[in-house]
Amino acid sequence: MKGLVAVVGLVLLAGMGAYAGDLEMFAGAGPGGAALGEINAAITLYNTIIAALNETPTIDGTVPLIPHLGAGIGYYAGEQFWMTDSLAIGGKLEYFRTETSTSGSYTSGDETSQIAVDLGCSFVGFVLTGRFDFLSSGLTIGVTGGVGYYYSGFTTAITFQMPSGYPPISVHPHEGEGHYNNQAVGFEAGLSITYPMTDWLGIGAELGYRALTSPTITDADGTGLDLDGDGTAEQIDLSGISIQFRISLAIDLSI
Amino acid sequence: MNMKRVRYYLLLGLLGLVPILISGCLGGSPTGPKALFTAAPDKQVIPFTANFDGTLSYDEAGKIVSYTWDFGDGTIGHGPVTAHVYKEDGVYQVKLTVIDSRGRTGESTMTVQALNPPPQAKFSYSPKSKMDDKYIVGASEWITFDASDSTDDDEIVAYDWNFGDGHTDTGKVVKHRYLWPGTYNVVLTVTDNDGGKTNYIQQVTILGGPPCNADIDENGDAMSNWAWGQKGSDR
Repeated sequence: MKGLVAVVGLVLLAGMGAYAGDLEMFAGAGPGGAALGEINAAITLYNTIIAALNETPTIDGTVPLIPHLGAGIGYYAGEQFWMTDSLAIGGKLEYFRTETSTSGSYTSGDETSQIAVDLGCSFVGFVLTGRFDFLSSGLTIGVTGGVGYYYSGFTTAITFQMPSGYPPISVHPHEGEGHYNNQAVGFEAGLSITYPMTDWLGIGAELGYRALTSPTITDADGTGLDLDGDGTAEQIDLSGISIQFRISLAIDLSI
Repeated sequence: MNMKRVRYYLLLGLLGLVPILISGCLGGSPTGPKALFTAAPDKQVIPFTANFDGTLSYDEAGKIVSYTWDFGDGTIGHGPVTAHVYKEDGVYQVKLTVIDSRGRTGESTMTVQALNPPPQAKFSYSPKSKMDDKYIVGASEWITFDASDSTDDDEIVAYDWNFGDGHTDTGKVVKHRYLWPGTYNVVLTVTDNDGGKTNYIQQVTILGGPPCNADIDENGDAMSNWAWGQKGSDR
């Protein structure tokens, strides 16, 4: 992680040296989402089983359903160089994380069965960005785009003990702790709104869409993540929308 | 076309694109129906009835309209809840296939084990005498062990005997004799044509002295060709 930050910093500094114009540094945060379709399909499967156990009269106890994975907070920081009054190119470092969990237990006679599910998904991306402002009248509105290299990680900590009082079921959820990861190239596009508070300080927001899919994620042994226990590794779809609030600082590099 | 007009159309295009992106993202990508079922019991001695319940199956973006069961023994069934009788032992892969209103399918499989009933092993022996509520047999006396009372749902293919004195034998009816008094555990192991085995143990009490008729075979005949003779005879 530190290495990645250092590389990003060096690349951006090198970019600064190559040009001598307005440099804008920015940072921000905001809510975002990731589709995680196959992961959430597995969570739906878990919830179906949990709901069935909750409603079984011979089994005592209630376990809360697992909220779907996807919503989280993203953070980013970067800089861009204004090549003209309306066109800038640059780069940013982006981080996003989403997590979900549930826990509880069932009792059936003398037997206690534990259910504990903790899932977390995050990515770090280095994105080469471009921005084109096409409207400026107090507020500046522009379009953004970028291509990035993303390192995605997925953590699991699952205990899913089926009560013996429940009939054998055709699917048994994945159990155990694991850390899975992969890298992929993704794309971003969005709409940017900026309000210049002073000549050098601005605030703004960006509504963006990210297209990012890791075909499969694997652990250190190369084993794919099979949350629903169907024998097929899940695909990690991190595509989603985000709203990012931003503060930017412009530096005039011209002498 | 001047720059102002380009920017105007660009803005319009983007505003139109935003709802498409949002709906595409929030809508997700439906994965089709998910088949899920329970089997009770999933392991039993044949013949038995397994009850299958597929009502846990679901479809996030549609409705399941068909449930088809493959019981793994060449028969199929239909409906969300069904039952099936397994008459032959074996390991069966039961598969439920669900189809939703969009024609998409989902499958789930589960193993059901139909167990072979083990054979029933039993034997009797003779001759024997009753003494103090115990059956006894004389030392060196030939004893007939008979396992004809053993049964199986199909066929017993092997009878293995361990007489507890270091000797073994095979066969439904065997003969054995004990040369020394004592109590011996006789173990009969029967094996059926499916490989099922069952042991049956019975104690045999032997009374009497050391061998005196060791030269008589199991049919009661003399084992050596000899006869009493007078001293000085040429025999």
